[in-house]
Amino acid sequence: MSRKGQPPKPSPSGGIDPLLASWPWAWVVLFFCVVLALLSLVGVFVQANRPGGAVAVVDYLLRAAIGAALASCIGRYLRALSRAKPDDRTDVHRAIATWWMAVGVSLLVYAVYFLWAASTRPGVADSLR
Amino acid sequence: MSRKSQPPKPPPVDLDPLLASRPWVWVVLGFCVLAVAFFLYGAYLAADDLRYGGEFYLWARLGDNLLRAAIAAGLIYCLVRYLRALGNGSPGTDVAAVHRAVAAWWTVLAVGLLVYMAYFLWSLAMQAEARRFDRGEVREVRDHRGQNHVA
Repeated sequence: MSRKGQPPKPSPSGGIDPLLASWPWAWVVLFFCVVLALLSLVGVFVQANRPGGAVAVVDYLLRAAIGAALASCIGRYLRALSRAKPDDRTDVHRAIATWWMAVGVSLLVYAVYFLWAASTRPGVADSLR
Repeated sequence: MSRKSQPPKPPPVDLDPLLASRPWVWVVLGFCVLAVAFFLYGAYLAADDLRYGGEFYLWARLGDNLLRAAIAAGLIYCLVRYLRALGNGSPGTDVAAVHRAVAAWWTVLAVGLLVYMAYFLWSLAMQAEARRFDRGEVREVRDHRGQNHVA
């Protein structure tokens, strides 16, 4: 651990060892994001043929978009990690920053959609229970 | 390239993207805190309903809410660790600690998703079995050794 005021000692790998070690877990999350996107797309086609399923179609479309966006961010992160150099981790940090932004925006957008859907269909809030 | 007599150049300051994305991390943290409160409240409601009858689906709902709350709490821990490690990006920032926090986030998120998926599938199977019992399609019989079997 570095003392206050002193710069930390540079490690041979540039300090990305923990990220490299957690690489399989990022793949697991990527897998779940892809599954979310694909299942949501299936849900869009199923709901599209049902009468009055417009809100559900928007819900599934939104989930598919969120799953695809998060999967894209993780893909970018994994690519940056595999190409990272010990003396330059900017791309990895950019990918991590994009990931946080994607998660934050997704949560906000989905929360706004959820509140809107709950106001139009009172039963939606019960689905969380 | 640096000459032999000169000290090597320090690595470029590359924490700027992470510092710029700190507000989004706070947004994610806020949602995780809301999720913990929401799921704990759901668990409380399920536990309250259990007083009037111990149907399996109520236990499943209780476990579901508790598991989701635990996963969200784990994510909160990782995010707080990350924000503390990142600090304000001063030259003394331990970049390896930031990376360890991000690695912990991936681990908790992935393990949480796997455990929740396993629990979800198990509770679905158990609820289907409970419905079959309710409809009388299956019943439990006791063999000569006193062990119960589904028939």
